[in-house]
Amino acid sequence: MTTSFLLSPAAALLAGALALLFTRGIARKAALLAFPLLALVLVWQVPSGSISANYLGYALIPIRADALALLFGAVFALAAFLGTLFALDRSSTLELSSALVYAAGALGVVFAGDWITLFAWWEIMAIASTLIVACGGEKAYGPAFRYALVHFLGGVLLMAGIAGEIAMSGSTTITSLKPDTWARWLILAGLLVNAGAPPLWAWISDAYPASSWSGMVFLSVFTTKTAVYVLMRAFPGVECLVWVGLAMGVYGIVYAALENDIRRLLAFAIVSQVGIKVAGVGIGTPLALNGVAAHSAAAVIYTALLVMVAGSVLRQTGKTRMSELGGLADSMPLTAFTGMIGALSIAAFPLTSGFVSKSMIIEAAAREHLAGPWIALMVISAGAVLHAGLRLPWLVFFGSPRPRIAAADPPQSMRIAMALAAVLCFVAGIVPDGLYVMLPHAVTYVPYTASHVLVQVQLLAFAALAFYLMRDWLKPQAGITLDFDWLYRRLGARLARGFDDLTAGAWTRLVSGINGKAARLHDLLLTHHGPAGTFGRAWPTGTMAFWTTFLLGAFLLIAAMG
Amino acid sequence: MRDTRKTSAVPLKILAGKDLRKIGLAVLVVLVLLDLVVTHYRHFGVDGTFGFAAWFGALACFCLILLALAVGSLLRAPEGTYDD
Repeated sequence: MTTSFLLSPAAALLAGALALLFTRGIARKAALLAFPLLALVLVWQVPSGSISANYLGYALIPIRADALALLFGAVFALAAFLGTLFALDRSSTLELSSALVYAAGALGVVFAGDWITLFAWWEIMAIASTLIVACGGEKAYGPAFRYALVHFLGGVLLMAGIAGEIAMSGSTTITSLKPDTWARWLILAGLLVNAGAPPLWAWISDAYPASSWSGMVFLSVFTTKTAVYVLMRAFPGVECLVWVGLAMGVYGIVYAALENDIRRLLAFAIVSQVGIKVAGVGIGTPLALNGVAAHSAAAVIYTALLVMVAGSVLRQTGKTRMSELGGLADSMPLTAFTGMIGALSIAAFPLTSGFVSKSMIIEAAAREHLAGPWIALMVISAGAVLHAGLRLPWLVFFGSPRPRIAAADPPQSMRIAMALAAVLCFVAGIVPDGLYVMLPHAVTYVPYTASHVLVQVQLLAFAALAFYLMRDWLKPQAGITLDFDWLYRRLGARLARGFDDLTAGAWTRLVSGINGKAARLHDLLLTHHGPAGTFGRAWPTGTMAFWTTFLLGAFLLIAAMG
Repeated sequence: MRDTRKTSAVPLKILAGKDLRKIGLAVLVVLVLLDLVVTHYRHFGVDGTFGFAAWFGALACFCLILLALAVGSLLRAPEGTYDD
């Protein structure tokens, strides 16, 4: 067991994180690239089946490998490699070490076969990702703190649910569950917090854009996708997930359409895309789950690509507001080109990875005759042009510069990372069978039929027409759109301040009241027992002798009478 | 970083060109006309009808933009809203 664990992909990434602390220069760069690649190799070496252990009387399954775990494991390791390649010039050892620990946590969750192991890796992810956010600089400390609060709340919900589930069922093994007990609802709630589900979805748009130009690449990959992965394991076919996912899908588009900051826009796009997957988990048929797995794999790469593009723009221009950007296609041609490929992928244009994966989920809804979810998924699919699909590249790379910005494509390692991700988007889209053979269920879906292709092209082309005709209404405007986080960032703060004022006033009154009474008591004591008081002043010796004699005489008299 | 002040924004020129608009319109028309030769499988009746995905895509995007504008009119706030 120990040998298997030490040779697990997660252990390789933990070793990489440790290595970064003791290396410099070329060795550090080599370690940054080598350990994620080693993890990718080790994913394929994980023995199929499960490895068991015992801890405090609980049966643990630290490693369980099947088709779904291998797919997510491989994609996560690949994304970790792309992320470290992109971040090769990043000097923050804390961020990069945390990124490798974060990736290790994600791989640990993927291969975990029991809830206790999963929870341990889950919390490692929460801590490591908080550190990545905080590495965005002083302005990121607030978002990092709020990120940590939300994720620790999610962790508490998950832990409580796991404890209840183990107490009730006696089993620690992760299996398909129905949310029919409070413990299972708590587990579901804990998972949905990490997926970016309502009402706590604002942590994504709050924290991710606050991270550094490289940090957001890692953040965009692991947390939400591991949540989708565990939802696939534990709650396939749970109907409420369909509606939660669709709400996320529409929310992400609407907020992204209003957003001015490119990285916050991408954060909303992430929520929208994760929503499609959560809805797919809720549909729960083999085709839908295949679609979720394929779309997760595709989304990891194209989201990372788009975030890399936004990171390149930030690094090279120092700007992220679309109202201050535009016309960068001339000065950053490779960034613009790869960004367009990422845009086509997220919009699910034929020949890209998004098309061969997202269409499976929509087809699953159609085959189940789920009219409402199908319409909503089609709307969300068309709505991709309102965020990263068209609006972002249009305004950043082709729109009129305000004013013209002097910039250039980023350094070579960043260019290679973006180019590799772009190639992967096309490869998966052109040769979908390479992706389909890794899916958890047998695939009976053919993406490239004339009907599928035409429907998708028509959908996107006319959505783009609507966007073009109404583009003036969606010009980037300075400002933010208030979200649920207003409740704890503004209302909660005001309530806390009001409570503070109230309690402070009451405390002041209490203290002053006690002080007044204590002062009066003090004065009283001083009157009688003070230096000038009756009992406190110095009495003459004669008076003392008189009263002593009087008391002794009285005592003798009383004794004689008795 | 090199100054791109003097370079021409070629994609911008192309996108702003009237020719492209005509080409785009022609492409949209061709895409709809292709429904005459491509058979769609109908799951709900309305899907698979002539030009369904075209009008649906435009309408969906139109509705989402209106929804976004409505949300924006209610919930937009200055950038420093949370700065204390």
